[in-house]
Amino acid sequence: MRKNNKNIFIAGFFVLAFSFNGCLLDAFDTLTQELPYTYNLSISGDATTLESTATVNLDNNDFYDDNQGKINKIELVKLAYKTKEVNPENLQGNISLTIKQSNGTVIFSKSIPGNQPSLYTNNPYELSLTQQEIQLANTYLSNLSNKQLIITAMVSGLTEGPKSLEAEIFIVFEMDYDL
Amino acid sequence: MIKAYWIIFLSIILFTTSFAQDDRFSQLNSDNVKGYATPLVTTLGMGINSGGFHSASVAKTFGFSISLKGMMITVPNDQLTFKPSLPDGYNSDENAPTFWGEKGGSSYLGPNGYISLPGGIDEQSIPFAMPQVAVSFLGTEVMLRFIPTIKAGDEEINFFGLGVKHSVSQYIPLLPLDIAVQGIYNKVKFSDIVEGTNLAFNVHASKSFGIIALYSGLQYESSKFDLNYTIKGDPNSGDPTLRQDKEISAEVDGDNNFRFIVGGALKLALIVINADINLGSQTVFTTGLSFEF
Repeated sequence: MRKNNKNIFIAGFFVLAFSFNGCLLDAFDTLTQELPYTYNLSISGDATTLESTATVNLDNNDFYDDNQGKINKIELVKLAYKTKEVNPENLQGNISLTIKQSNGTVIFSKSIPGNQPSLYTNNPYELSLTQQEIQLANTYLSNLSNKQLIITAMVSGLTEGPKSLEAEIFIVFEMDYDL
Repeated sequence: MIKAYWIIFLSIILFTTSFAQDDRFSQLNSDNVKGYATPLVTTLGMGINSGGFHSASVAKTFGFSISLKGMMITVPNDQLTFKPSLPDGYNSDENAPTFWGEKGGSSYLGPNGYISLPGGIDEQSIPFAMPQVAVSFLGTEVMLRFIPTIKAGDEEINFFGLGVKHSVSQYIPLLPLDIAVQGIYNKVKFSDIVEGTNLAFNVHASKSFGIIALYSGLQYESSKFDLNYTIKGDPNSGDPTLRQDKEISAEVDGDNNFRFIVGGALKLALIVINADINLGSQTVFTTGLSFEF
């Protein structure tokens, strides 16, 4: 009887240790990381509406590049706008950002509040994305062969005359991949 | 037998190799790695410094024991996040996950764009197991914990522990319980990537009631891990210290300083089964199976 108790205890110990370590090992199988990307946009001209476009290449990040083939999921989670330089400084105009698929299909479009780009000099503005907007972007990105997004910044309602705007767009993607 | 051997040492291997997962640490500068990894070092320290005794009785002639100790360490909620150190212009009101925190990472917006920090592994109950052998003579016990060098890929893992315990009650006649003091030193090394040192000093007492013994103790301890890793430079990071590849050597101290231990043991001839609870920075439930005489 004593021998049986001992055997049951030992067996139980190992089953328990193995089970818990199994759960813990699963946690080490994958890693979720947020990856920041930065894109510069340059807008200049005389017209009342001006725009500039940049192409987001997911490949432009070492974490992404090093782990291609092991990526389970990549999602857009954050988007922000910053004015680097504006000329004239008191330029007034409505800024909007449009995110498109690589074939030009619009995913969503957002407006930056206020009509003075200088408001966001050294003070980036984080766009509040709706669940639907995030879902639309992530549906596109769920096909892992879709590695490009197009960002267009448009400034409208400008007065005629020469002007220029240098802007930075900050994007964060969340990537889940196998270790 | 090979599987059992693997399970016993899995915890130590798991924890030390987790440090070597460069991608997890490579988004952390030398300040934030401390906030991120301190709960992990605390867990390692709480685990390694557990199971040092289940009785204060030390053989006056000769004694021997071989034991297998299993632990379950629970990480409190306040060790799942930490306040990151960020450059000027960044707001760190929102905490970031520690190693044990939620899986998703976190990003902070400031004048230079986003700074991203890694997620954790989303675990609060951590198992740990370790074998030990003890020999006692004339009221003093020497305990040894040892793992022969294990190859993990190109790396090597070593673990060594030594404890010395001395009976105090042998000098106090008619004392109704046994009292002993103990010091434990443990070292774990994973190639040149991780080197951890754990120290513990305790005073403990026990009282036997037939085949049952109750024991309790107070322990002071410390855990320190030297961690070497590489920052994978990201020119898009808002943190200038994370924009270029860089070798980092960081010393991370655990939060484990004091613990209170209370437990019981069942003595069945040469077999002893014990269980105790350790209340400290993290809570540890320990169980042990010993063969001793």
